[in-house]
Amino acid sequence: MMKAFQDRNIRASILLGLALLVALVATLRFRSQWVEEPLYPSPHLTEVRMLSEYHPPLEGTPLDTELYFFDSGVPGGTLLICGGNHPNEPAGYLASVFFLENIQMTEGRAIVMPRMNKGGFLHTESQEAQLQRFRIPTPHGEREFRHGSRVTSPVLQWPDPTVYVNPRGIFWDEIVQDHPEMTVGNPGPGQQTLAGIDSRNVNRVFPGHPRGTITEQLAYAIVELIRQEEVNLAVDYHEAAPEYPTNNVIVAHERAADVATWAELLLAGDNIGISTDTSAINLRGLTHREWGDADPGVLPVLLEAPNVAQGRLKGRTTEEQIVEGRDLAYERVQMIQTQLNERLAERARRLEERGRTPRERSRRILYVRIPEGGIHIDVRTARHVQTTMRLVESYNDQMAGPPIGVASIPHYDEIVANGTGYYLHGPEGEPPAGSNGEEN
Amino acid sequence: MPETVGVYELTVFSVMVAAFFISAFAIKLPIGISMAIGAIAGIVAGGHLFPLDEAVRHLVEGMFAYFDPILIIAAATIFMFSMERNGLLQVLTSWTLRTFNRAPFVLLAAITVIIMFPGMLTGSSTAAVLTTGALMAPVLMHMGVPREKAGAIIAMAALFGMAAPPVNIPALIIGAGVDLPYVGLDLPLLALSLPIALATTWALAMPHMDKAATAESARQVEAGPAARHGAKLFLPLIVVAVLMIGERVYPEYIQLGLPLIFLIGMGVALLTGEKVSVHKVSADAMKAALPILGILMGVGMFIQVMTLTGARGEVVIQSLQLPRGWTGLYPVIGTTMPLMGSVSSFGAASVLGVPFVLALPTGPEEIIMNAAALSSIVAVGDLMPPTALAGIFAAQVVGEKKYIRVLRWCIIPGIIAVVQGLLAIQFAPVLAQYLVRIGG
Ligand SMILES: [Zn+2]
Repeated sequence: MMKAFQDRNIRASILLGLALLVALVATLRFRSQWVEEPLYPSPHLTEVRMLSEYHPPLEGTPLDTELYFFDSGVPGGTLLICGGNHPNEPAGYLASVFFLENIQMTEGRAIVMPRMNKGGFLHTESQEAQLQRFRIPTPHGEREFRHGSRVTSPVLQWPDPTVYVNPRGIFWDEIVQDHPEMTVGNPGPGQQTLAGIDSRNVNRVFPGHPRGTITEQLAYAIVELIRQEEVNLAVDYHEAAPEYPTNNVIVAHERAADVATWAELLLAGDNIGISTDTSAINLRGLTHREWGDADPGVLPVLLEAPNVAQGRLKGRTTEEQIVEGRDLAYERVQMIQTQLNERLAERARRLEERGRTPRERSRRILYVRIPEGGIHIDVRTARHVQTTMRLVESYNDQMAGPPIGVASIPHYDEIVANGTGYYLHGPEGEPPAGSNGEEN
Repeated sequence: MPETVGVYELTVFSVMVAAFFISAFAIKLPIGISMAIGAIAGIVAGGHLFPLDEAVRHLVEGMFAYFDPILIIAAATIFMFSMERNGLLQVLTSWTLRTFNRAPFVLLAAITVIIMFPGMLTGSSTAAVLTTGALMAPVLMHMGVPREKAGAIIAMAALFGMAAPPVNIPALIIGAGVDLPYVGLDLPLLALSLPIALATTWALAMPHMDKAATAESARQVEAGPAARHGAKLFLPLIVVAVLMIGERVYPEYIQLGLPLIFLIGMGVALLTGEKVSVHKVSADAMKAALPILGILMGVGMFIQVMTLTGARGEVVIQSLQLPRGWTGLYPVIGTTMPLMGSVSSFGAASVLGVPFVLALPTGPEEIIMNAAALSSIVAVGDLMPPTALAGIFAAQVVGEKKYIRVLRWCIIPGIIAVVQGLLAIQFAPVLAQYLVRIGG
């Protein structure tokens, strides 16, 4: 055996065979993420459409995605609920699935798009060592959900440019030619330059472009959906690492700021601490900026909840990180932050005694307190759900548009007490709509 | 403070490092293979071996982390070899020396900027070393600069080129990580790269400048047989430069990517000079590039397993718990950024750069200044083993077998570059007033 291994050809063949075996095992594992988990819309579903109806070239591509319409039959406004903009932000996805499976409209209608960037569900990001899926217990057994990446799979769009320039600046003239209403009360073309990988991050490529990359076409189709369906209130669910300053917030387009601020006050009554940020005018490509700039009729908001699994400080990869939101590394950081601030305060005091100005008095490493035991995905999901309900209420209170009536959604406290899974459906009863469970 | 240290994470990391050192230095396996063995040891020690296909998935996913740089390096090496084989290199050397031999001070400045140029456009030091670096190597040596120092000049100019504007990807990544658009970075980046680049070249080369000797050697350098091809010989360089600039100026029309640009350059080189065999030039180039490509794959696996086991997070956590200043945070920045930068400047910018920027003063102008400073420190990572991309390729283009001999001369300029970056961080509030123009 050893003697045979010394022969160059035999050695090469053995190594090549080994490499092929590794490639096969890895391929099967990667391909398993191309299988869509079934979703079970609520019985009040009135219609399923594909996003490609708003931009036909998207038809048949892996980025074409289901739109679930819930029409009350009573005239009113249109609510758009989006999950899966960033498939590595699981509570964002789950909150949209929660609405998909429980919503009933009493006035106007809702459109639910649970998997905005299907191209991000197909893979996990290299170096992030993420899991491919997580499980949520339901009364009908365990349900599996895919945990993906922030960006479209490189299999669908590659290579990345060295530097990505958002299409808004490049194609401004063309855009305003088609939509002259965009020249009014709008911050103008702007020039947003980003790292190449952001060309695959749908939340950096809005308003998209009809002949651009597949991700830009996806973004364009979503903007067309908002225009053609005359969406009034659009909610986009996300999560953020605890060390990221924009967290536990509603980020609102300036036109949606009043609706968001009033919702913030209503949420205080639910004991949910949240703040409102107004979308930065010179940060282009994001939903809360571009949807509102592209369509003067829509009020777009983006919600963030804290998620340790996407953090830079995260510990060992576990399902617990995603589901329970628990990570010993973050609990350690909490302690380190306390100790550091004690030291900083002490140093500052000593320096001031000597008449010098301290360089640093305190530091925030985490922008969200991670309690012992973590922030469970039920809590993060319930946050998004409750915030959406209060946004709708605020929208109606302020008569920000034609009335939108949503019925039969449990309160935050109930969702936290019972768990999200309690409200999710199972395969028994009606067959799952919109997803055939086969590979695409 | 035992409770603030991750025991599991550090234990697994120690096993990985030990396995790497034993493989690389006791068993004397190639560095790339040793990194892979370190990664596998981490998977086993961390308890992530089962399910086996999931372990394989992590290793393969990590291996692909630097797929794009791998293609760039392979293509750039082929381009460099074809310029050398078709006679372009020799003609250019002879022509430059004959024209500029009376003004070494100015010529050295011009050489520095020429070497920096591809790095400025692509954000890649490898692209600079293997293109204009390779062109300028013989010129420097004929001017009397010793081989090792010529290598050091090329390595340093290339990495300062990578840090210089208009394209600095680490700075973009840091900006995006804190939601700050890429504006106002150019001046700080230029101030942190061009002066030190010129000073480095002059300091290393001027002691060897002797006008008479340079003139003498200029007379002796033959243009070689390729001179008969005339101006068309320079076509590969022109085509590559036009495509690189075009990609920056007209991103909506030209999106070829560096690997393809270099291969087009090779195609042109095959038609415009002395006869070159495609097969031979490609095979030789791949043979030269293979060890470094292996290292990049091994390093990708190593980092993936560090993330999987929480060791990566632990490194970030431990880096963040010191107060600002020269006895605290600054030395940590000055060591961890280049060390992680040796693996990937993009990775270091995202994983360490973003938390560091948040641990420093966070006014918008200060963030820009700090992002520029941090990205200039990250660039020094291209000198750090095991990858030491700039050093390895610079040694290759000057024909030095042991790249450590080249790196020796980079130590002092490298340290000065890091200290310069840290000073820029310390004085960021003041410097930002003069260098950062965010505007409206
Ligand atoms: Zn997100």
